[in-house]
Amino acid sequence: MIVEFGHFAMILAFTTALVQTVLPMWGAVARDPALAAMARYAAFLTFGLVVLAYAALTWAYISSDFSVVNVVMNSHSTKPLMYKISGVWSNHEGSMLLWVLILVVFAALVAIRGGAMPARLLASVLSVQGAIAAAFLLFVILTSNPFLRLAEIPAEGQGLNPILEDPGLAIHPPLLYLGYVGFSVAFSFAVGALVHGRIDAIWARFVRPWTLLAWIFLTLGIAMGSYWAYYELGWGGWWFWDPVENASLMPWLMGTALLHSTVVMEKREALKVWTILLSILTFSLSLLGTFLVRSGVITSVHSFASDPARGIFILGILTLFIGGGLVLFAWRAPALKQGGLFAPVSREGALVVNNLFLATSAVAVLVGTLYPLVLETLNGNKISVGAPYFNLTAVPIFVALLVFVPFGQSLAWKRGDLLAVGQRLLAAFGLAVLAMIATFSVVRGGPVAAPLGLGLGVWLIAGSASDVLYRCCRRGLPLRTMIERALGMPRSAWGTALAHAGMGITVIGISATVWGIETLAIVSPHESLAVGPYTVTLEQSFKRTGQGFREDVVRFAVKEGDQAKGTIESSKRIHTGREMPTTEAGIVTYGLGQLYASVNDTLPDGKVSIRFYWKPLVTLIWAGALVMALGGALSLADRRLRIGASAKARKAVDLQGGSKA
Amino acid sequence: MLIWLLIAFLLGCVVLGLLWPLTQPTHDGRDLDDRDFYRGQLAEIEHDQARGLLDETTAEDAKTEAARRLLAAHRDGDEVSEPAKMVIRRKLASLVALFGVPVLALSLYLALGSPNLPDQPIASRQASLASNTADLSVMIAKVEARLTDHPEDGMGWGTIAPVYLSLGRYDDAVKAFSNALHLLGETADLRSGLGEARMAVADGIVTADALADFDKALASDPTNERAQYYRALAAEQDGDKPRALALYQALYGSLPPASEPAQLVSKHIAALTGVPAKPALDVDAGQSDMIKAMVERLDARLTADGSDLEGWLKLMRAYQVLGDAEKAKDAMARAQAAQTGHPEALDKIAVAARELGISN
Repeated sequence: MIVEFGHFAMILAFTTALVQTVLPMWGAVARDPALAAMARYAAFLTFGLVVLAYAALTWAYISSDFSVVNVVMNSHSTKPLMYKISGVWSNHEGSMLLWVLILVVFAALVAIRGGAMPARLLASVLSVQGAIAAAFLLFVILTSNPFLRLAEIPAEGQGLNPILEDPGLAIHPPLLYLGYVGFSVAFSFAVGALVHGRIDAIWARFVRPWTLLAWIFLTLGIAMGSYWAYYELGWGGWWFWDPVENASLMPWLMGTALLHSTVVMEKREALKVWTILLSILTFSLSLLGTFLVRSGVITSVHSFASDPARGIFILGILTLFIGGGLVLFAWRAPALKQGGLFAPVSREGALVVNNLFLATSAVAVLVGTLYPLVLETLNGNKISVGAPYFNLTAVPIFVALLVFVPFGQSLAWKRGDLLAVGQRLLAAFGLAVLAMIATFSVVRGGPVAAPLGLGLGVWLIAGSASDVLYRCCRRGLPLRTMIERALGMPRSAWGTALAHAGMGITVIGISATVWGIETLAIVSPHESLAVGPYTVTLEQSFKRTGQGFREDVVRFAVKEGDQAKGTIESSKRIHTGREMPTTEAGIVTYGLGQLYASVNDTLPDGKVSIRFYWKPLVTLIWAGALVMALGGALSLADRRLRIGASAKARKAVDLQGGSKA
Repeated sequence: MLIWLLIAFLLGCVVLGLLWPLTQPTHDGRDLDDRDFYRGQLAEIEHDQARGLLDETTAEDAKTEAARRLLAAHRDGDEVSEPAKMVIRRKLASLVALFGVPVLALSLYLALGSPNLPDQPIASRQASLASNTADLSVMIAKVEARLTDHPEDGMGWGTIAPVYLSLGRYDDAVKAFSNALHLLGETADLRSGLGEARMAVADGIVTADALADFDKALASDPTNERAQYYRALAAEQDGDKPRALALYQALYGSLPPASEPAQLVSKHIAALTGVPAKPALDVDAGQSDMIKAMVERLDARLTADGSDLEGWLKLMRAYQVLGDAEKAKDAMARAQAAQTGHPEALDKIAVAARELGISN
């Protein structure tokens, strides 16, 4: 009954989403406040109904209700509670319902905050959100319904797949979805503004926090996914330019561009039309990501063609929203009032360059991701576009952009002085060069790119630091004043500095991967092996059983010089009734680096074939992403979001008092 | 029944929720615009200044800027739609909320939902589960648990393998059959099961691997029906019709007529020869004996006097239908011998043989 109630709530949510789409938009266009006012109510109702549906499905999982097909296929009564709950979204149907849930949560949040918004804009924004929700709800109801029932009830579920029982895998999809779906708000705002025919300061003020929020989640989601692949897949790699990864990277790149252009819009009312376009493109890439992952098109174009219902449906949704958004843009954008002017050398100019680089890199990734699919469709050849392509296209664009970042960050709004900025950044530049020279002299050999990359990372961090120092420190000022100034600095400025420094940290982590050491060896018991600065000795290999699996474990003792540094374990796991054994990598963190062990095989004579990696500074890759997200959060918490666009006033202060804060 | 009460309640709430904003009087009609935004901003700056968050100069500059923008702000049109049209719209919207939403939701739900199926949480099913130990999935779970602890139990693997196969867990079936073969040694049944599982993994294509398994199974037991069948299927999939037909017919001959496998095989034969599967296969044992007796009588008559062409054709057909390919072939040879010198008759025999799939 609870299950059926949830099913009905889901269907009812589809109808209220339809109402939310049609009536408020009509109200907004016909200037009818009564119909426009329906938007908020309908949004709350849709939200409540989807929550009911999702809760009912979760209950079916928790109570192991095997009369629900979806539960039978993806759950098992002996699963730990946490994985019963995460099991809801670990399959196609449930994850699409989660997608919709997050979508309506965002719509409800917009509706809550909507009291301060112009009613017509709010009505059109919520209408577009409703349209997206209705489309995806219909998709779930017709092609991926998680509430379908069985009359003959099996005694047990089939979803006992311990490989998928992992905290990383449990948290990763919701984070990623929060990012993907969050950009729908920017999209809705863009379409709303186009329908509305006006785009102004209010618009920018309301759209920026949503973009920032989505960006934070997407950053965390990508980092999490990367770390999961790193420790779970056992290859020691952290990014594979896999289509699924690219599907999340593309909206991130475009979303980062959007984030920067909304700053320009909010503060200077410039780049309006461009921001609208970026909003549409960012969400389009999110939808494309959903399509790539959910339609099965990635595994093979043919598997997509053999079960086309889902793929075609999402493709239809994709066409409707991307095509519709772009057509509306082409039709209405010329009517929008252009915003403020600025000199080419200015913060705005720098942000335009940033946007161009980011958008170009997103296109490069897009081409590399879609080209194999198109080729396979055309002539059936299955090729894969891998790291070499991306290293030659997207990576140089990233590098060029990052070299440029500290300049942009330090330039003044409206009219900047490149020379002055250059002088201010001299110290940061010197530091970066020093870091490079130091690395060159310490590390002999190895690719040239690595010290350069390290220098780039230092350049980003030092550049951010120098900007902060410049803002709050002057020769002769008492320390107290400097601290007060630093504390008084807007949180968004701290956020910018942190986010850029976080990028620098990640760049250092990435550059250091080329100094990683990889050793593949067959080791006898008590034999030692040198891995970078460490010596590992095969201590013992033994069998162990856990819940639902048995494993052959090898344990190594780790020493640095003569100092014992604990042990590291890796194992081959065989899960009950499963074909493939899985490798559990052993990872131990020393300082910022990690020792990574991945066993290949235990040979009959007690020898062990094992792969060891020493990865210096590797944790920085993910630490940097966390710092970036933290910067985003700080920026989100900036009180000036409430005060609004006072940047120009600050600029005026700048000229008079020489202080930016 | 309760489910319908709940559904009615939910529907009622939703309809009321949608109607509510329509019952509210519209406000003066002027929408928020940039002017409100900048006024709000000015108030905010003053508020911050009063709390000491902004110093004098910054606050004054910010205020000047906001005031300047306030003056320049675009005046949004204050006009709203005509009242008469608004009334019509409200009525339409009310109709949508009152009828459109419930009708659409209920019709979709009636098409897709199963309102009569109660929840079946595992807790409420424990009692019936405990008594029903014969339940397949419980048994599977038990065997799997045992195999986790005793992976050397070949009988266990051999027992669970066909179960996996029938449940569609083909990869698991391949693994279980392989383990069983490894631990129990070569048997035709396990080997042909492995081949079948491999074939299932390959979406029903008899791959080279699977074919090798069937050949091995036949090497240890030439009468293994499953292996015979799939070897014939392999030939059919390869497009080698004559070989497929010969193999099917050989198999058909060894199967009890009217059995399920025999019907399956006869369908393949029919598909290959273009002759529809014969209803005669459905005869029960008594009828079958009677038919056999009739055929034997016909055979005896034709042996004595081989001039009856129609009789020969009937005999060939009869043997073929009974699944006795050898005798059908024999009948053809004897008919040809008896009809030497009648080219027309020989032609007819050849045509019939081809149709029946006796000759290649």
